[in-house]
Amino acid sequence: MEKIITLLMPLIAFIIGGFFIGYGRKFTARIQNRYGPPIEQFFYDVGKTLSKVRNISHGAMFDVSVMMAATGAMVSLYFVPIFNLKMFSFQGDTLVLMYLLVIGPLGMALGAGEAANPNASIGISRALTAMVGYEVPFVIALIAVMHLSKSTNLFVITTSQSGWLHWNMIQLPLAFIATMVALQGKLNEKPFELIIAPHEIATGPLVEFGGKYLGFLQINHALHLFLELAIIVDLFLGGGGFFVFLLKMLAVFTVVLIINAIYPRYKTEEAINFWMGIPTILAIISLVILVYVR
Amino acid sequence: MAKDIVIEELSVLIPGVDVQKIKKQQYAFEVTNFELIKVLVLLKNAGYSHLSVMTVVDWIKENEFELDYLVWSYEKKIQLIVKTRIDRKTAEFDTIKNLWPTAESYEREIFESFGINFRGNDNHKPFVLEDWKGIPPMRKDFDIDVYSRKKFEGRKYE
Amino acid sequence: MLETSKKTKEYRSVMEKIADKFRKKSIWMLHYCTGCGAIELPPTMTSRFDMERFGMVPMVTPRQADVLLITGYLSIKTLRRVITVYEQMNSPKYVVGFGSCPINGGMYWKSHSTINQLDKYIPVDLWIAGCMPRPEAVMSSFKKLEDLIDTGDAKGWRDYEKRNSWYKKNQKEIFDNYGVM
Repeated sequence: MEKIITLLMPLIAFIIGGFFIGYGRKFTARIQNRYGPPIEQFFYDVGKTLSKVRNISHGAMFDVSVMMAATGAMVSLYFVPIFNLKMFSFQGDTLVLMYLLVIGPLGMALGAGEAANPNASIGISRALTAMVGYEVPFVIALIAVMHLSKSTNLFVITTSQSGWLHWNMIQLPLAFIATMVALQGKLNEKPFELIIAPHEIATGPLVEFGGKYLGFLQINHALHLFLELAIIVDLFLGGGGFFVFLLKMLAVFTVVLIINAIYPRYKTEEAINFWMGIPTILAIISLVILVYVR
Repeated sequence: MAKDIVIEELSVLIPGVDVQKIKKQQYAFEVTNFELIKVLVLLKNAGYSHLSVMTVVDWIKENEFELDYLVWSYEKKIQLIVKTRIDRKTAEFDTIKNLWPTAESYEREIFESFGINFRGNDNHKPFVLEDWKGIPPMRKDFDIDVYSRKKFEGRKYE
Repeated sequence: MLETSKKTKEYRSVMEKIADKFRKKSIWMLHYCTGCGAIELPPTMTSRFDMERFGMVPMVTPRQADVLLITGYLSIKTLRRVITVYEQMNSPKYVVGFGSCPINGGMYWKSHSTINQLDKYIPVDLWIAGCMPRPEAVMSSFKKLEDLIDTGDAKGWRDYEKRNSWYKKNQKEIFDNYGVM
């Protein structure tokens, strides 16, 4: 049973990620006092883009870049333990995961460079600059968690949080807050919606992708969403069985959506100034308290 | 009939001018070609500091173009229309872009739609029309009906 | 001229039928508002007459959009750009003409720079009458577009590829400098 789920991991992540995206659109619509699209709207969108007849391409590198972006997300999925199943996690896999998560934006950067549209170049430079910003508080919080659990194996970190009071969210609250702020940037939600800013730079790096290429990028978006939420639940909330895991992911995603619905968008310099300021200080305080006080 | 304050002030400023009141905050008068720039400078210093618009009326039967300059004063809240007539065949006048820099765009548009050349303003880039060959389209001898029917045919219904 | 009201009994394979079912549930419109009718689009998109519940979302780039809404009159200057935008979109793509100006010129029929028939230059799938149609009319016309896609009748993009030389001949007639932007 475990082997079957491990094999079908990308498919499960795609389906669950798709329903989460539909839930996100419906939730945001209800906040704005209107009905939203149906929950399965994401699958209609993917089906429509994958059924386009004429797809305009800009060269061979353009075709490869889409595959590269989707591959980064798919490979990272195998190292994240979900539903209390140890997938392929090993000692040191948190650091490997940090490297694998860079492949996605790198693939998009190659494709955007091939497209030769100035909007794409501006979008990609913003995306890579934002990545410099949000990695700093995230890595410091990660070091605090690794020090508390005395291991870099994600499966050990997850299973060492047994019981309600041992969750890392309760033990390291400041690191949790720093990670939640960094999560807004990773998932491209306001106020840090720098990468794909629809009306500002015409969706940034995605501006020349249409048809089947856009379908693959949407699949990549769903996988990426599932991956990021699963990492947060593993690190801080102590993963559980099937339903408990999904419920925790839904709770984290709802907090992200509520903040997304209220705020406008930051500029790039303001966002990086903010990330290097308060969240980093909170994460450093949390690390110092952990090492010297406990 | 009570004397109008605006008419009184204008007759002190520009002696011998005949001002008509068009509606509650709008007055009009006509000057000759030589006096126009001087009158505009006087009005600008007297508080009429905003050039609202600059436009042209085509008197085809009298063979003349009439240039209208509309100026507005923020304190008095009065709009004045200063008119002058030029000959239709030569169609030339002096530019006022040194008084108000925005007049450069108005004169460029008038050059494209009426064909009046303003000496001193040589910005004749196309403004609204693209690849236009033919007489300036706002003149009264441009037959818009014939042109439109020839170029764009209407839809035929069965 | 392209007739949009007759239902042709053409054979569609099973994959085409399934693909049409997907296409009608998620139509992305291009956020390029041409004439004066664009004022009716923001009320349709916002909370009162919510357009997103049918799956329609505004997209900012023609590479990602499906439907091009021509909302109002088109001057020669704009028509050149609209044709470029139409050719940049990925097939299958649809065009909807809003108002009476694309149909027969509307109230600008006598003007020296607006076109009178949109049908001669790009293929149109659906016409909406009115000057301007209200959001309720816009929404019911989107329903009609969905029905047309479902039965396979929205074939404007195929017509553009088949009779390309006829469309190009009409376009070259009104542009003096064809191919130069």
